[in-house]
Amino acid sequence: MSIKFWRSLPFQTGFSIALGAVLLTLILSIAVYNQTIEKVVTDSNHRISQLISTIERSASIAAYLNNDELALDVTRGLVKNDIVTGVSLRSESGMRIISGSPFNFKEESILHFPLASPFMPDEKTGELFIKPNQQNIDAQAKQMGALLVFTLATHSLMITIFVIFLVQNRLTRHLTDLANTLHKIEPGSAERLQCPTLHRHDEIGLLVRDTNQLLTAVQNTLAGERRLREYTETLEKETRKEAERDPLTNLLNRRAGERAISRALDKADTNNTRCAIMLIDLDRFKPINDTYGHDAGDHTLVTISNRLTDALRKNDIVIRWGGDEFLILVQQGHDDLQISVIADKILATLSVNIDINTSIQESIGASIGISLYPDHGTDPSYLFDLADKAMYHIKRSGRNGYFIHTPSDTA
Amino acid sequence: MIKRQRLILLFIALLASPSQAGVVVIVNAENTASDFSQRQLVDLYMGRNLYFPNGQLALRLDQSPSSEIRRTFYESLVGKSVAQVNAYWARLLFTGRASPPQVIRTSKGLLQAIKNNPNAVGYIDEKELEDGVKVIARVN
Repeated sequence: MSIKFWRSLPFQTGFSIALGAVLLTLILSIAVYNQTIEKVVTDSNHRISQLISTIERSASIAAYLNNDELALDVTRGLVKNDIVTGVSLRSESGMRIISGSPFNFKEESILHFPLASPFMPDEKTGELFIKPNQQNIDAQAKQMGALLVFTLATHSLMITIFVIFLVQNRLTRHLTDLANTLHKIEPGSAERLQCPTLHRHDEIGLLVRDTNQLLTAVQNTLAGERRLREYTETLEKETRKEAERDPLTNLLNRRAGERAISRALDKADTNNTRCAIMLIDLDRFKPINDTYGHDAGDHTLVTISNRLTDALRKNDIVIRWGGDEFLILVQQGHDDLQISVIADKILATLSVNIDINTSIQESIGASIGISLYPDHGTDPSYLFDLADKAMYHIKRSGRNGYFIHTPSDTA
Repeated sequence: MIKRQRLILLFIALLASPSQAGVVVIVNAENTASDFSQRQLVDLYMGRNLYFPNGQLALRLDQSPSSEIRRTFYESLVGKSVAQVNAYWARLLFTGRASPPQVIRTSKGLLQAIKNNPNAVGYIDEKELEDGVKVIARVN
């Protein structure tokens, strides 16, 4: 899983900070701009007041004397200032002098200064009306406002870049690194997160330590589970083996043997090879069992089993078929299947004396019935049956010998 | 402040020359004008209203610029020094419309001028009053 860039922590933090800075700058800029305009207007009015105070005496005298020349001198002088566009001087006795552009006296921006008599300060002799140069004030306000806003924006930008750099460098970068590293660690592996040196004693350090502890815990748990699974598998294998084997002789039991033969015959069919099924019945087992007891019988069976296994090749199958019956499947190797040779070999090994105890030896001997795959058939049960019949044929005709089923034989 | 200053000055003046008991504004005895208020006097001497109530143009007369009586007169009338009053007239000089009162060097000369001109007006020390002139106001 890869994180989309616009969902990533570096982008999100950077974007949030930038957005906050922009909004804050915007709000501050509006406030600063308005304040600047207000201040410029106030300053301009203050300058006009100062201007008036310098001509106040002349204006008062002009109004007192209704002296047009002096009044014009005053108003023309005032209009020369670039912060004033229009001036009107009126006296109580009706003099009206206007300089500059005409204006409406009711306008809100018009400044009004009463003129007292030069000799009787309590007596009002006239009024001075000033129209401030709004264009000049606006231009000045805009210029100053723009400069302040530009300064503010520049500061904000620098601080924002610094904060973003700081956050990325101190926090986000490490979190991203840790997240990517952790993402690549396979559960149960011995890999661990590395703590950035600077963060050893802060929350990132804690996060790394705790994550590593969890990784260790997961590794231990997974290792434990693996051991348990291996143990269970071994146990199952043993159980299965026990179910397949005859506990006394450790040969395949009849049920497992039938399955093994089925598989072997399928394989022979695929490879186009021949097989022989030999059913072996011990000739003199019952007397030994009756005479010397079950332990002697068991010992005899184990000995026989070992001899059979030793006499045959590894890929041949030896099965304990019943009490004193064994079934063998001999597979064709590289050579032809030499049944008589094998049967003779088995008869020879089974007629060797068995030590019942330290003083007694007994010869067992066996009768072997043989059927051939695929010569006599392909169905295992049918072949077993034919071998059984051949074996009984031997039993009837004097024991200790073998007989290969012959198709013409109807016995 | 000005009033207090005036009182002190007056006090000093009284101590310095007990002869100057007061300043009176006088006109020709035939002039119909009488009992000028301080405001009327100010307007007349400072050039705002140059006419007597009967419509005749007034000929305003001033004492010598360095005289004590001129100092006392303007001090009492408008609360200004002689220099300040001079500055006032200087400011108006260029307009060509307002002109300061005509100066007569001596009180005797002034009295004579008033006696000769029915529309003349001037001020003198109360003690120098003569027949043929009429007091229309007392400034202190």
